[in-house]
Amino acid sequence: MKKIIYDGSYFGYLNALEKALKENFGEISSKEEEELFAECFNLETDAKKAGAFANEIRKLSAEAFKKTQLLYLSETPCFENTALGYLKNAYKYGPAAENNLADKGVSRADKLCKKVLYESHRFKGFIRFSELEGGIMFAKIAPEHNILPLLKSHFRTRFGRLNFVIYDEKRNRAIINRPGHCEIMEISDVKLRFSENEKRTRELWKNFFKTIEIKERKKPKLQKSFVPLKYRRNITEFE
Amino acid sequence: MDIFEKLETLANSAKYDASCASSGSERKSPFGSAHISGICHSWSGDGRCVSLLKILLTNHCEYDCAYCINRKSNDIKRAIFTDDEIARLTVEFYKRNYIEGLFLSSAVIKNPDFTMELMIKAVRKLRLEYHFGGYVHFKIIPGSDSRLVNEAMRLADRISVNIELPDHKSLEKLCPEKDKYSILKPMKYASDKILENKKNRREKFAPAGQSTQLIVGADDNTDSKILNLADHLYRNMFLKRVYYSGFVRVNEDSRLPMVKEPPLLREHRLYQADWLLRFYQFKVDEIIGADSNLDLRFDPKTAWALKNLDRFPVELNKADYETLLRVPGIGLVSAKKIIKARRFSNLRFEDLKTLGISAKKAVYFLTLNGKYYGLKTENKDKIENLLLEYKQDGLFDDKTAEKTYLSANTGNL
Ligand code: SF4
Repeated sequence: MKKIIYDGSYFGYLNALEKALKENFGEISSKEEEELFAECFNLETDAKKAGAFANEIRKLSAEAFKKTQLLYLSETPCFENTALGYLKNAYKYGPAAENNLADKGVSRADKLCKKVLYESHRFKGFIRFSELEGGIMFAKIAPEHNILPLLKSHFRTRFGRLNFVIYDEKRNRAIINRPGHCEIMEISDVKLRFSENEKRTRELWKNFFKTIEIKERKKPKLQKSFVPLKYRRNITEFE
Repeated sequence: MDIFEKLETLANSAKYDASCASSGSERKSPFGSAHISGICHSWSGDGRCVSLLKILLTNHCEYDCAYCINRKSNDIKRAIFTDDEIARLTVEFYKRNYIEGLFLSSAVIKNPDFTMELMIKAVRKLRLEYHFGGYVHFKIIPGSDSRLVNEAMRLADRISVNIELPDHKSLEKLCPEKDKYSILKPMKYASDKILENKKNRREKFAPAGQSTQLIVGADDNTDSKILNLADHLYRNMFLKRVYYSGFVRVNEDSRLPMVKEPPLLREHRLYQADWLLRFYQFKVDEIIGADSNLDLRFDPKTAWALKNLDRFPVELNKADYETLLRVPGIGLVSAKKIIKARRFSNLRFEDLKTLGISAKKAVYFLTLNGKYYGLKTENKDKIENLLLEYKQDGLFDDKTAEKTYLSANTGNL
């Protein structure tokens, strides 16, 4: 088994995929481990080559390019190999590969991409801002997948004229918006001072949330399946 | 009364309305937007989606509907919001991303028109003074003037007029002050307006259409009555959604049935049947006979299939989309997947799982390349029993449809 080791970056990922496809490597990983049975190849990241390859996939089909990106954002173990399995199909069949849903590789990629999109859709609802002194709206999240890039345009459209920050505490990155300008940046060392209004508004909301539950219809299991425990830490009404 | 207590009182009075959708509208503005497929922000302990600040303007009521917590004869805490309180609460909640917007309803204070005017004033303030571009669901008060309905539609994304009771006999008995006409007139007005506006698309005019709610189990109307009414509303009034709300007995009243628990399973089967009508191309009389109720043991599609075993099995590799949709175990998503996937390769039994089809259920109704994997001694009772034993953990045939359904139950879509 031939294996490529790359640096974990997006460009490196594209380089690795290209090499694996064209030179028939079986696996890709960003972790260097003692490999007993695999023949490893350490890959040097090349941004220019990555750009050219991205264009190549885009020409193959828009869907293939989108999936390649989403799989990278998934950050699940071995997503590189899922992408490889999928792209092999896409190279073989072009846009028609999307229909090959009985194929395990295509179906696995399809499911993982849906998971990433589903999580980002849920976070459009789950994100909770707090008002800081000076009026900045601040939210903290810890999603399973790296979804900040998928959330940016939604929140920019909605709250573009506000100053807001969406901070991914797992990855130390944040969407930072000022009117007219929105970007994703590395940040660390976040210290917060809430506005005077903040505590009161939260209490109002929490009490509203408690009030609207119809006791005769209690279904805690259903609630859990919609708002998984792992997300609740950052959701005001479940704090 | 302070705002804390007011909100508690007027949220408590509003919570029995099942609808909560925030979908069907696309709006962009400097402050706020509406997302076409809707967004759920939370789920309350009863498993219902929370996406809007659902409140009454007031719970002071002139009417005395038997089933309602706010009826005149109840001795409860009463409150009324000012327009500014409503606007500020909406904005403060919205910018924290607690909600998609506002759901404003009201009890009848003085008379329907007076009530509507207060509601319109509050929403107008929210839209014009606070420049709110999020979602607004406006509950129309039965019996109010068309001019006011028109005004509400210009401000709202969605409107609704609740029918609550499916025939005028029950209405007379349980809601003596309302009549069929007072409910249907604004509904008809709205549906005509929506249609007219679709044609010339001049302005935003309740772009997310209208919905209604029916209470299930407060009277002795059957499921067939309810589903026929819903079907009529979808076809002739172009409603976006009909919500079914299992009756919760909040008042002691001899006109109301003695039930300890709301009929949740019945409500659930109605939602499933409603889905078959809207997305699975079923006709009402295929799902239910005259004057009867849905079979509580099976979902309505499985119940239909068991009654029509002579139409099965069908060949997975050949059956058309409409036929596939009627196979228990195959949902909207998996039917589409099958059509795509079989263009590519012949499907085998092993592929069912990859395609997200619940084989345990579908197996009695399918052949794969001519081979039948179900019961050898084909007989209805046995299949029925096996399907009964097969406990669905989900409510629907595929997970994606289930998620959509569940949030649609009281929320999105
Ligand atoms: S009109 Fe009837 S249903 Fe509406 S709030 Fe008053 S009593 Fe309740």
